[in-house]
Formats: sequence, structure tokens, C-alpha cells
Amino acid sequence: MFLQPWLLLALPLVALPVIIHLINRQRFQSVPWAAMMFLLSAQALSRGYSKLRAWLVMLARMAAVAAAVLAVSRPLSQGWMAVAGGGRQATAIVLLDRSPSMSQAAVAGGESKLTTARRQVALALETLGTERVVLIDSVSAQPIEVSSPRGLLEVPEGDPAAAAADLPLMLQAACEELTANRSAASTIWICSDQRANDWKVTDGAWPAIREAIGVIPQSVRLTLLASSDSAADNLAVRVTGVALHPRETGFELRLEIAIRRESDTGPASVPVLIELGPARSTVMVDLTGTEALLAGHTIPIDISALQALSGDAGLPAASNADPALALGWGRVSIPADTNPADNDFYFAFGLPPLRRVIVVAEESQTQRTLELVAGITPERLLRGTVETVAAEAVVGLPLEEVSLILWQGALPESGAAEALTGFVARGGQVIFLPPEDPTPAAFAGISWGAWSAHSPPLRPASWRADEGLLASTTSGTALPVGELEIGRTCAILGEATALAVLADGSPVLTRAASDHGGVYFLATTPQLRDSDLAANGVVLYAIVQRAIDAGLEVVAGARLVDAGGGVAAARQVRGPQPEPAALSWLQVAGPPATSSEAGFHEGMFASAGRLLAVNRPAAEDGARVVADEDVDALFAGLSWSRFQNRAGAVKGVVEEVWRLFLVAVLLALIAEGLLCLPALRPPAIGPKIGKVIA
Amino acid sequence: MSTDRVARTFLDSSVLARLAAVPLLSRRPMTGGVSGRHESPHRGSSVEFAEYRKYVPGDDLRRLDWRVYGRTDRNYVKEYEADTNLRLCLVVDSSGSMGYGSTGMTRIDYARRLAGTLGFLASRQGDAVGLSCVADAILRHLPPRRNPAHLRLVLDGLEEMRPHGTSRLPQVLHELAETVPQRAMIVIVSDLFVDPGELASCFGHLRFRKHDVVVFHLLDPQEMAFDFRRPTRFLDMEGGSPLFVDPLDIADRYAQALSAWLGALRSTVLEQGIDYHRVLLDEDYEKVLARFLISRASTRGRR
Repeated sequence: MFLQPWLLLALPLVALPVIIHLINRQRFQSVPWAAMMFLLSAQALSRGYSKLRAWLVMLARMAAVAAAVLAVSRPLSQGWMAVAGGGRQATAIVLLDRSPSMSQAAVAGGESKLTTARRQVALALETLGTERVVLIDSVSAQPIEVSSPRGLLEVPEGDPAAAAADLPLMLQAACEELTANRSAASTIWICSDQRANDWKVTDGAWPAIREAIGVIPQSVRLTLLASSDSAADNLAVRVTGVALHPRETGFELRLEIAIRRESDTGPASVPVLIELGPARSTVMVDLTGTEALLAGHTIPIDISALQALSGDAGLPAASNADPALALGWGRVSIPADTNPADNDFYFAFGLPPLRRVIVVAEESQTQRTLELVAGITPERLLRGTVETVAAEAVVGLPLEEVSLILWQGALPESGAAEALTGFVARGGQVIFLPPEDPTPAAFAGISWGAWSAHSPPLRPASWRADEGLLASTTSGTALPVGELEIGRTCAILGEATALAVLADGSPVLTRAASDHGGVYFLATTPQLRDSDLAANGVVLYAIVQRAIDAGLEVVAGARLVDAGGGVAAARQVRGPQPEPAALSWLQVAGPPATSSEAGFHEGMFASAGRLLAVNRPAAEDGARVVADEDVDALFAGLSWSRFQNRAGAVKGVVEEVWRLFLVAVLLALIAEGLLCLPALRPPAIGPKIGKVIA
Repeated sequence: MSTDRVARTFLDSSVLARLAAVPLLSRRPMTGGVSGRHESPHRGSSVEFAEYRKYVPGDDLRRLDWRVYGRTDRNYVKEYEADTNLRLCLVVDSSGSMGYGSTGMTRIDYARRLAGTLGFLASRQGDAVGLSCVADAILRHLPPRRNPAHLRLVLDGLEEMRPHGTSRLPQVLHELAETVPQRAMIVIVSDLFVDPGELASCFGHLRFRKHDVVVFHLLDPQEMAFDFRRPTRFLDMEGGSPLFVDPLDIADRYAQALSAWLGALRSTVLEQGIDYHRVLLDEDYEKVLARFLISRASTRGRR
């Protein structure tokens, strides 16, 4: 609370006025007096007021002395804040949330939350005289030694990024830093806007963090510099879908653009600028409520011009690149508002990738049927290949660009199972069909049971028409699943989600639980004795083509990468890469970013002959803030405090306020002077000499 | 006069000589023992015509106005004013508060000068002079007499007077009102530090007894200004409890109380027809007495 607290030892001087008063009382004069009646009367009149005034005068004098002593002790503002900061601290660890939401300013063009927080923390640490400053930013989550508090304003690791923050990870890094460097009393400053996606309150790491901080031997205080206020008029733009469709003459780009705002401030028309190379177009999007979606916005594309542009942009080996992965890129923008970090969105596009399907079948009729439904593309100009292999040959196949594996036969084991597991983990789709002779082998916790014959054949009684492979079409027309006739089904053993169920309750199509990709089990085969899936081929065709589309989304979807998190996704698709993967990325467009943080800033990047559009994660557009009570619970049992900040706040977190105390001294002295002023006396009463005659 | 052979410190011969030119006159008829220069309630044989009155058997025929009889054929007696001497009662307060004085002269010294000079002047013009020294009671009482030896006693009494004790002026004045025969001049020299209401009562009593009441109210300049700065312990000169106060704290209330008291006193003397003179101790007593005597003389001329 004070920069020179030892001067507070002078506080007993507050008693000085009392002592002087007592001494003065001993130095009274004695005067013989005749007119005592007036004195007694005057004293009776003024006893209460006189005592009150005497007390007030005494208080004013004591306040003046106290304020003077406090002023020379160099007090700091935000008393509780200073207490939380513990005054002079040896080490300060600053956790800086650099997520896009921290770029929000109070007014358009104003100082952002991030800049305000950096400035205030730097000033506070400078004021407190902190000896060692360590920065842990949300991008690297690694401790960075800063030469001085002022250095917080200069280090590039404090600039805004497009990646979301991971507060638990940053706090873990802070704990490790504190454990490794056993410095004296330390403070952890958390500069964040309390966004739910950054704080991850349900993360299992929080209890461990609390425990870790609790066992640190030195004194550790946490100070949260929260900037949780939101801007109701802020708009965020995002491309939720991009696809290049071949047409008879050239291609057309279909964009799906979403505009979101934090609260409904009435209808608005937002101009969205779409940049596609040198071509620019603006489309007006009417916004009512909090979100608007511009779906199916088409733009005709000249492929040759785009390829030339890619070469001009310095895209390495663009001519050799797979046009399915690196054909072109663009950007959508909305006018500047309070948060500039969510006004642009980059996207990349290419030719539709090859619809590559692998069929593994032990029965030839089923094999032919599957090859047929997988090989016919929904649109004529789309390309697709179907490769039929033996089960054991799957191990050596390059599955990275395969969209779907159709597997009819005994469930894979050993090497094949591992290959399929990796395939599914990267987002691949697998549909298993039962073998004639089921084995105990299991995949994703599911295994085949015994066959059951249904006579007469049964029809599916219910199926998931809202989502999944059996969902109705976008026009609302349901698939004719109920018209299928199933004569024989193989039992599906294990926990799975049934997508279609026969009248007797046995599942026809199920989906196994998996973090990525899709693992489906079809309980019958297209053989005539088992079902009429082949004869009534619409349903089987829809199932297979939808699975292929889902697999293609992963293959093609890698063009849109979430900043930070997208790096890992890209690595999963393209296989193991040296860490950090983004180091090899070459920036094609977007705000300049250091190579070490290439994957954490928005923009277009080129990597291994493909274009990556790096943007902020979708969760950053949400305004959900962690409630104060939840934050209290996260830090329960720790020495911590919260300081509510706002973007552009001029007032510092910790400031010297000795001037205020000097003013207090002045005011106290003026008050004392006014109270000591002798009261106005009535005009002097002169002698009245003369005769009075009645 | 040669009656006072002892040098009196409170009498100044030059002042006496200057003031002797102005007579001491009463405002209302006095009852004296011998002829003098004061109006008497009775008709007398002075040269000043008073009125005509019808002759009644027994009247002295020498006083018939023969001119009126010749003109009207009626008998009228011509009457003249009677002049007499007055009895001057000097009532001097000798309570403890009379010992106060911040100008080098105490109140009782000033009272000695006023009373002694007045007594001397009255005696010199043939009036009887008496003295009452009062505090909580009548400490010394010398009835008015007109012989020079008595004046010496009066002056001795003034000289021996010492400020002491509490003041019970209202009670003492009531007692004097009954003691002193009617139609005398009562000169009160005091600080009047009593309740004006009580004074009104005793002034009324004195007026009822047809006395001509004169009040010399002696106040010290310090009592008016109350110009103290340091915390002070005020010692009651009449034996009361001392009082420790910070003068700065109560100066305004003191002034209020003093002003209220003086206002009440002024109302009292106006209602009772008292010849009231407020005197500050830093004034020259000769001027005070000169104003008093001259105002009396001019009033007499207008009767």
C-alpha cells in the first residue's frame, strides 16, 4: 500500500495536536474577574457547540498530521489492489490473454483491452518496483523473461493473436516457473477478458493448479485484471462454408458467410466485402437478431487466372501443388468496429478433392454393389475412385487422402485395426458390413454377433432423420428408409448409437463412439437374401455418398485452420510433422506475423504445397463470459483478488496518490483555520452617559 | 471650605473649583430642613411666584393681592414657591467586584472620586450629605447631615471603604428606600452586576418614596471588550468558583450576554425614570460629573 512504509512509523505524530493542546491548557493565565455573570451565561449558551468545535478543530489538526505522514509514505491507489499486489514484490508473472476478444476496444479505434491491460500492468509493476518480470502469453504459454516492466509494452509476445487462450495451461506454466525459480514473494497477474472458451472452467487441470499454487513455499498472490465488459455493437464475420463446384463452363465458388453480434441492437444491413484476388465485391447482409447467415453466395471462378495469381503470390511450387488443395484464397471483411480482430476472415479453396474410397469385401456380390454405389459421384464433374483391396493390404495403403473405407468381412485385427484406428482418428469414415461368419474381433468397442433371419422381412420402424447418414435432404424430403425390407441382420454387440431400428428393436445402422471421424456398422448386406439395399439403392447410395462427403470435409477442410488449434489439426491430416509445424509455414497474406507464431495469427499460409487459411476459433466470436462466482470457485482457497478493468481505462491499476493526501492536508488546515476563526462580535457597546428621564 | 483639612487622594481641588460653578439640583421637589436652592413640595416665601389662591379666613392678610382685589373685588392670596435644601444620600457599592479595574484605576477608586466630589459640592451649597456603603448588606450608613464635620465623616467613610464580599444591591436598596426619609436624592454608584428585573423592583420602590434616583453605572473597558486571547482562569472577585474558559470560544456569546443585559438595564431605567449614567473607567470623572450637573441645571431651567 505504501512505497515507503517505514515512514508510517511517524504516524504517532498524530497525537501531537492533543499533546500541544494539553500543554497549552497548563499554560493558562489567572485573572481576577468581576463580570462573572456574563461568563457563566456565555458558557451555558455555548457549551455544546464549543465542545463540538473544539473536537472538530482537534480532529482537523490530527487529520492534517496524519495526511502529511501518509503523503510522505508514498501511498498507492486502489488500496485493496495494492494489498493484493502485496506492495513491492520480487517477481511478477504476467499471464497475458492475447485472444482476439482481447482486441476489443471501448470505442471504434480506441485502445484495446489487451493494450490497456499491458499498459496498466506495466505501470503498476513499475510503480511497485518489481524486480523481475516474467511474461507468459497465451500463444507460447512459455515463460519469457522481460527486462523491465516497461518491456511488457515492447515485446512482440504481447501483441494480439488470433488463437484462443488456454488459461489452465498458462497457469500451469506459471506454477512450473515459480517452482523452478524459488524467488521471494511473487504475484501472478492475469490479464484476461474471462471468456469461457479461454478459461475452460470444466478443465480437469484446475484442481491440480490450485493444489500446485498452494504448495509453493513462497508467498504467491493472484491478481485478475478482468476486462469482461462486452460491446453490444461489435460484429464478427466468419466463413462457415466454402466449396468450389465445377460447372459446364468453369467453376463457381459457393460461400456461406455468418455475421454475428453480441446482442440484438435492432435490424441492420452490413456490407460484406469479398476479396478474391484483385476482384472485390460487396454484398449486403441484413442482420436481425444476433446472427445472420448468407448461404449459397456464388461467385464464378476463372481457374487459370487463379492459378496465375497463386504463382504471383509466391506460393511455393504452386504449379506443382495439388489444385485440389491449393487453388486460391480470399478474404471477407466487414467495416471497422470496436473489435478489429473479428472483422476479417480468410478462406482457401481448391478443386473438389478426389472422392477416394477403399472397399474391402469378402463376398463378391457385395463388393460389386459397394463399388457401384461408391464409384458413382453425385455430380457428373466430380471425380471419384474406388479401390478394392484385401483386408491385410490395408496396412500398407496411404489412407491420408481416403474419404471412406467400406469393410465387409471380419472386423480388422492387429495391423489393419491400427491403420483403421489412425484413419478414423484423422477424421476418416468407415462403414462395416457383417461377414458371413462373424468373429469375436471388435473395433471401437463393437463386435459382430449372430445372424438373425426375419421372415417375413422387416422394415425399419424408426431412424434418425434429423442428422447423420440417414438424415432427410436439405429440402426436407425423407430418405425411403422405411421402405427397405431386411431379411437378415447380424447382431451388433457393444455400446453404439442406433441410427435405424427394425420393428423388433434390432438395429440396422449404428454409429460407434469416436472423437473424430465416423465408425458405422450396417447390420445387413446388400445381398438379396439379406436385404433389398441393392435393389432399392437410394438409401445405400445416400449412406455411402454422405460418408464420402464427411470424409472429404476433413481432407478439404484442412484449408480452414483455427489459429493455434488448427496447427494440430493440420498435422493430423498430413501426418506427423516436426514440432512446431507452423515454423515451416510461409505467410501469403494477412497481417505480418513472426515465423515462430505463424499458426497463431490470422492470414493465409502456404505449407507443403497447400494453402491454409488461419482464422480465429469460432468460440472467440461468442460473448460468453465466465461468471465471477465461477472464477471465485476456481481460485478458492488461494490469495487472490479481482480488479475490474475496461478497455481504454485511463486510470492505472496502481498509482501513487500522495497528491491527494497533500490536498487532504490543505483541506484539513483550511478547515482548522475556519473553525478557529473568532466569531463575529456585535458592534462595540460604547458608554451611555446622560440623563434618562422617564 | 475648610471642613476637610485632611488631604483626600480622591478629591481634586481644581476639579472641585471648576465644578462648583454648576449647582447640584434635584429633578423633583425635595424635603429639606432649611431653606435652600431646591424646590420644595410646600409653598413658601421665596421670590418666585407660584399661583393665586382664594383667601380663606386665617390667611395672613399681608399676602392678599390688593391689586386683584381692586380690579375684581375678590380676595386672592398670592403664593410663592418654597426653596429648601436637599438630602443627598450617596449609596456606594463596595462589593468585591468593585475592586476590578484594567485601566489603572479600580471601580471603587472611581466611585470614591464621583461620590466624594458630589458630596463635597452638595455640602458646599448647603445640602445634607449622607453615605451608605453597601455590599451584601449596608456596611456603613451615615444619615444625611449638613454640617461640615459630617462631611468629613462621609469622606472618611469613602476613604476607608474596601471592596469585599458579594453584592446584594437590590435588597440593600429596598432597605434604604424604607430607611431614608421621603424626597431625598439617592446617588447610586455601582457596577450593577445583578438581575435587571430585581433592580426594576427596587428602583420602583425608591421612586414610590419620591426619591430622585441617580445611577452612575461603572463599567471597565475590558469588561466591554473581553479582549483575552489565551485560555484563562477567571477568578470570581466576589468569592464564587473560578471558571476556566478559552476566551476565543465564548467571546461572541459573552458579547451577546452583555448586550442583552445592558439592553434590559436600559429598559429598566427608562421605565422607572432613573437618571442613569453609564461610565467607563477610562473616562475623566470630571467630565462625567460636569455633564451630570449641567444636565440637571438645564432641566431645572425648563420646569
